[in-house]
Amino acid sequence: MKINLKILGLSYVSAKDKCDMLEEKVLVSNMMLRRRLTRGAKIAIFLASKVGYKNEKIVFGTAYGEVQATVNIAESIYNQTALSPTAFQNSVHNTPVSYLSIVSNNIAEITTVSDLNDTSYSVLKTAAIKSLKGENILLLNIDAFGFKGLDRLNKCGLSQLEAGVGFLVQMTTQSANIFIENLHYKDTAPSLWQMLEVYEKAMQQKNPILEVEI
Amino acid sequence: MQNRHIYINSASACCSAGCTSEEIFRAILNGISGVQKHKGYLVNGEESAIGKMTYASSFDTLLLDNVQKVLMQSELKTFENTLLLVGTSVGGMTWAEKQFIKDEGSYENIVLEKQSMQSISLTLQQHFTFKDAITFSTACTSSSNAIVFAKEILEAGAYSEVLVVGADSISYTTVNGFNALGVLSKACATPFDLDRTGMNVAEGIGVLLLSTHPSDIELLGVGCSSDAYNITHPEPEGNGAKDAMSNALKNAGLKARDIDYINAHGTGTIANDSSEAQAILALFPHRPYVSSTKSITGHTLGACGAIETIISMHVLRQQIVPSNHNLKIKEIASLNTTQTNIKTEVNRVLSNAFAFGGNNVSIVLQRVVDEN
Amino acid sequence: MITAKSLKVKLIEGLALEDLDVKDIDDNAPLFNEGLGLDSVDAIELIVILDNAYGLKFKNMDETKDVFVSIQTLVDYINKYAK
Repeated sequence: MKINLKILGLSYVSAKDKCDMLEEKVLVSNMMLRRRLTRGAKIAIFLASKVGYKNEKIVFGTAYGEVQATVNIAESIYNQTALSPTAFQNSVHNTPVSYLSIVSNNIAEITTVSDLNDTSYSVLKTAAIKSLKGENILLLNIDAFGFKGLDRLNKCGLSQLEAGVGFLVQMTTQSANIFIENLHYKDTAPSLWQMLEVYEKAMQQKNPILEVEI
Repeated sequence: MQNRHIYINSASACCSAGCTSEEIFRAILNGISGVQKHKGYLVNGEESAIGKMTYASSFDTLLLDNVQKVLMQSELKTFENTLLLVGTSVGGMTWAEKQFIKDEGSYENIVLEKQSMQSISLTLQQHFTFKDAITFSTACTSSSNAIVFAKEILEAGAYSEVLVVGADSISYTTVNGFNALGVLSKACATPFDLDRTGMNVAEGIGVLLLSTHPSDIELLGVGCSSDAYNITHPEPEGNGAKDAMSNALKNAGLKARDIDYINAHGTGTIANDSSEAQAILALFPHRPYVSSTKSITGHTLGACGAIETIISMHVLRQQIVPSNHNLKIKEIASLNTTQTNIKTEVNRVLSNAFAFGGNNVSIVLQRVVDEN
Repeated sequence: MITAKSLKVKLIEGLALEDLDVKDIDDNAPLFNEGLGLDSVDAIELIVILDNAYGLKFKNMDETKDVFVSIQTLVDYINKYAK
């Protein structure tokens, strides 16, 4: 089954260590809320702000989840020290989009998928089916995994430790002009490749329409 | 698309209360909880009251066995045309923690395929062939969101069969994490009780085969919402829960009064039970029966949506509303929480799951009565 | 003996109170709900901070009620009971 998605808005961030242009002080003026935002949450809020997001349903994908929070917890457990409640509440995979919903007061449906290198496909397929009801959907795929000790884990030599792609989409019967060819981007996590490919191709189109194969 | 009816054709579950869904339901009716005190999970050395499966088989073996059972009970010979949807909030974290401790705090042997949320799906795909697979991970609504998507993709006609697997194992992270938030009960949880003190972390597996082929249980409606309130606490008046339940009713084409029984999320925490009760009272003035089964199964986190849907199937098949075990004094007298099992006509059940970050899912099941 | 200033520095760091300076926190203003606006998760984090920094332990949240009021009540408690 094929579903065509019109891309109404698109955004992308990427950084070697940390994205430093996420405008968090502007986008989240409430400091008491902003201080708890994870890297993933800040990236989600930024990407959403660039695609014309207006509290649509959200489909979010992340291959590695909240790595820093997970590491903090693992080390507390190993060292037998008291766990930070903030770390635990920030450790679930849907943390970034939960914060986005709180910041934007969005009460719509939010789903998170996580399939390592297949994450882009999981996001696109899930969103494509949910788009059949006719509503616009916000798609996000984010991975932010800088943490102390990463160098011992980073055997594949990835240089972009934070990256995210965002689309605002709508189901369409118009013909597709973007088809996924599984291009590789050696500096970015493979979980983002297909959505990054779609981003780059969509930037070349006046009316980008993606074909999603279910 | 809306004309397709979706049915549950085959199901299997296991948790600390029972090795099969029949055993689990019997334990619920007999008030025999799977929650026990165990040492060795809390870093402060104290005991914790958790729902740990103590069967001879490992978690992975139980996972494979339950999927195999669902296949054998179904009319399918293989899953090669079936979509696998996994719902998990722990994934492979239990394995990763043990490895990390074994390696004395080194990440060197943490293999992502074994640590990640996708690990459940990958384990299953080593033994079964599926057409495709997607993993949902939204904390305590993980397998509920998988069920929502199963309905959507079946209605779209993209697949004829979908296998939903909810699976979460007990990890140091979840036991210590909920303890850090101050919401763990030191004994078996007492949902909706005035003196309740919190929840019990538990593990479990729930497997459901859904399709458009008629059976006696129809997945009639699903509804989702977000609280947009707080990263851990539910919105106190239960507005998010109300939205999810009323969206499920709308999706099912039902009115509130059509629901006979609500299998509540009812974790036993002060916050959840209070906001859920308010939402139910506001939306269901006809006061359907309400009970939480988590005092028997514990809170199986990401697996609870799948497991409690299967428990709700038993309610419909056996025509018996289970007691809300351990309930002594109702916090809210007007909430129709059951304190005994009630043999009564039950045609439609609504099952709730609410998660961190205010992620809410409600599911409506209907008993299909053969008019012939 | 600790000072209000040193405690404020610890809280700004431990509770990630970005944008705040020591001079922005009033010694006698309420810490929770009004005033600084800390919440229940901060209360738990504060228990962890006081344990790690000063060896102080609280059995439950009730024990914190009269202590977790303002910077001054915290300073007084720490100076009385810290190891």
